[in-house]
Amino acid sequence: MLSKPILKQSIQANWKLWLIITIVASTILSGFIISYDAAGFASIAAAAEGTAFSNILSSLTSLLGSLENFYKLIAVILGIVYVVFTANNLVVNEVDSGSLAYTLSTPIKRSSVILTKSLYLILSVTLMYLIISLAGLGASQLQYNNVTGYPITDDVKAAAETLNQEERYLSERLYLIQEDEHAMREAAVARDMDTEAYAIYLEDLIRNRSYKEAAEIITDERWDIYEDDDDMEDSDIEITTEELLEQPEMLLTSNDALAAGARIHGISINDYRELVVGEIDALEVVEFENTEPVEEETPEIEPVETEENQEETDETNENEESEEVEETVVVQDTVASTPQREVSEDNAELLLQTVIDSSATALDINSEQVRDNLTFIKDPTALALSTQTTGLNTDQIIMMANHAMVSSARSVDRALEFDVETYFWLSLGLLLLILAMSSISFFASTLFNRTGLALAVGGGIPFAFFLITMIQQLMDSANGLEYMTITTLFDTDAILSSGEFGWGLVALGAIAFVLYTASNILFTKKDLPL
Amino acid sequence: MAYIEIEHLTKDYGKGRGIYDVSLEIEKGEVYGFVGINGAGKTTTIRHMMGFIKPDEGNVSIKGLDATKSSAEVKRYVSYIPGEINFPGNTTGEEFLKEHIYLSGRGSWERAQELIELLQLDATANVHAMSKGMKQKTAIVTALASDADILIMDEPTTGLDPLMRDIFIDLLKEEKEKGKTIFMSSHIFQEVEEICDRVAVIQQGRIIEVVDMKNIRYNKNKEYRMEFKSEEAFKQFISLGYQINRVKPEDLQVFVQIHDEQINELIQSLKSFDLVYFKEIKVHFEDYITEVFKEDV
Repeated sequence: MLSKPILKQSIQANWKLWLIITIVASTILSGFIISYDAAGFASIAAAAEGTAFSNILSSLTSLLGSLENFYKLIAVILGIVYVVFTANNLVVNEVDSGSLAYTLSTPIKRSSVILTKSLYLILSVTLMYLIISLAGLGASQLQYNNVTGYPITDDVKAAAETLNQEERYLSERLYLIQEDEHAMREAAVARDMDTEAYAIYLEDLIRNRSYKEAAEIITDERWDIYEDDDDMEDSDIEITTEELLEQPEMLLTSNDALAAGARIHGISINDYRELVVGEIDALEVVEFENTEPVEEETPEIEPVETEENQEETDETNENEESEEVEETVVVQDTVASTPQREVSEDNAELLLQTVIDSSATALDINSEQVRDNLTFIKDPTALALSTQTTGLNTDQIIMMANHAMVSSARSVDRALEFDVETYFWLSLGLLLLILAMSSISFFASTLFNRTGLALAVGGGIPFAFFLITMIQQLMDSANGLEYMTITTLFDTDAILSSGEFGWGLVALGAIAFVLYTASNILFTKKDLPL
Repeated sequence: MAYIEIEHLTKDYGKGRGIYDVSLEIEKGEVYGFVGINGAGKTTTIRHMMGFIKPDEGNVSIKGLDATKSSAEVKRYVSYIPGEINFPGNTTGEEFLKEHIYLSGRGSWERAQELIELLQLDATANVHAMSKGMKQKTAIVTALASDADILIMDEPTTGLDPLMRDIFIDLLKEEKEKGKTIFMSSHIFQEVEEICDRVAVIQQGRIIEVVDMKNIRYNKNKEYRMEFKSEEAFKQFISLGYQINRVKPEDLQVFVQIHDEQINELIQSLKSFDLVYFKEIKVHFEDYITEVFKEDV
């Protein structure tokens, strides 16, 4: 039923536009990926936490999240341009100009003419978006090495140079950095940390990775066991890294998981087993402590007004939170070794800000510089002022600084993670959206005999959908507009947050299927003015 | 059953546009003309024959195959020159020709080359860059080179200069000798008269007459026009009792209709008269059709 000559003709007539759009879209996606500023977005997001902007920024805190505009707007409009012109070119243009008369004056059936043309459009769109997706994948892999392995971050690059190792080789064997003092120093500098904080960060990272790999192996093993068990939901079978962190004892049951964890640490399985046992014990102690009645958790604090402190915090925190500070401010002349107050989750952020501001004042630089490089906090002059303004002792402040550095580094790492599954669904969703758009254009192209009318309807509808999406993205509020465009069915937010998006994609596929089928039936039956 | 049979074909586009109850029978080896003014329904009829549009009523069968239902099958035997010519793809004329010969599954490139030379066509030009005349020539080459049993042509001579039109008419005569069946529409009566065996006349979507060209070309009843020197002779001739169609007494002219068998008799009678001149009045298809249209109006 497929006609090779027609396919050849369709390719000859349309390959140029196809190539241009493919190259442009691939380049833009690759550019987005390569220029993604993980550290920048991570710090912006951290700064905006708790404010109204955090929701908007949350999508930017990961590489894939930052591509939302590409998937919602850029790739869509490029796709629309391709499908509208190509659909027009394939059918109505040949009818209107009369050149189809020649095709139909040969013994080729009308049905195979239209089938071949539909398949050309479907396949060319599929191939286009496959190439675009692969280009994105390639760009990410080349830039961050985060598709097939662990991201190569600045510290790994620096350490690799020092150790004279391959970056990728080293990114899989972080313990090699731990073993070399010089490498540690270089790596720490590369990540704007001091060696102390970096050591904590690296240890934390290795531990997490070992649990992650172990969790994957345990999940695989559980799949083999429970695959045919109807009582087990998929989510019950799967063991996430978090679940494993809570119950490390699961690790001890699987030799493969232990081996994987040990490999990350660069130690023997037996050593790793001991390490895990140690962590289990530690967890039990914590649990035991937690079950104890908590009475004297907060030490007594004597709130005293501190003028200096008040002024400084006012500069940065002009909201209600500054009032809290007022209540919890501590006596000025504290002895460094005895903490006058404790750092809790509630006040950590605020205390950190105070410390940063104090350090900035002490070192006569601005707060932004300190935030960019938290090692400034550990400067003796800065420490002295910080202890005065916060009432914390030096150990506490250093711990806090370390913690802040580690968590900011970890959020940069997280931002650079490339979830292949999410990427797959984003790419598939985009493809289905464009196929649905193409089916609208193609249907218009077969329905009408005049190019102008077909272009107005077959191009106008997809373009209207695009405009609605754009307005929606700009206003960032739902006011019923989302029901007026099929782009809503491609729910990038849901895909990025692992929400429910499957039915939207099915609906897009259904739209494409119905309209292409209708086009085929229509074209074989209609009168052609040739 | 005729080679091409059109039965009660009706397609109503409303407002009096369309074709109504068109029935034609075209025999194998016949050159069939289809004339009518613009908008009379020629192209609509041809589109039905090609299976591009579906009839409201009636049907077309070609070689016993339904032209609508077996449209693709019918194309094995049919070559077509559309009324408005545009070629698919973005290729040169040569590439298009080769591709079309391949797709049709018949004909030869050698024949196409002969035709290209004969029509003085530059087939290396891109099909989109061609002038109207070049497109028409390319279309003619395409149709004739593909060596089909049946040629269906919608006004094939438009855009050709008079010289090329003569060459084209000669080519059609060649095709006729090969036994091809040719159906061509035209609004130029002269070319139709020159080549067609039969001509159907369509007006406002209805066939008003099917003319056998033999009756026009080989009409044994001829008309002669003569002028006498004297009024005496003029009056005397009239009294002889020949069938006189018209007289012009002021010029002493007489129009006589006479069957070829009686021509000697007439010449004998005229011997005794003093004539200024004597000539045959030829009847052209065009005059004939004009008469038909006049009557109809």
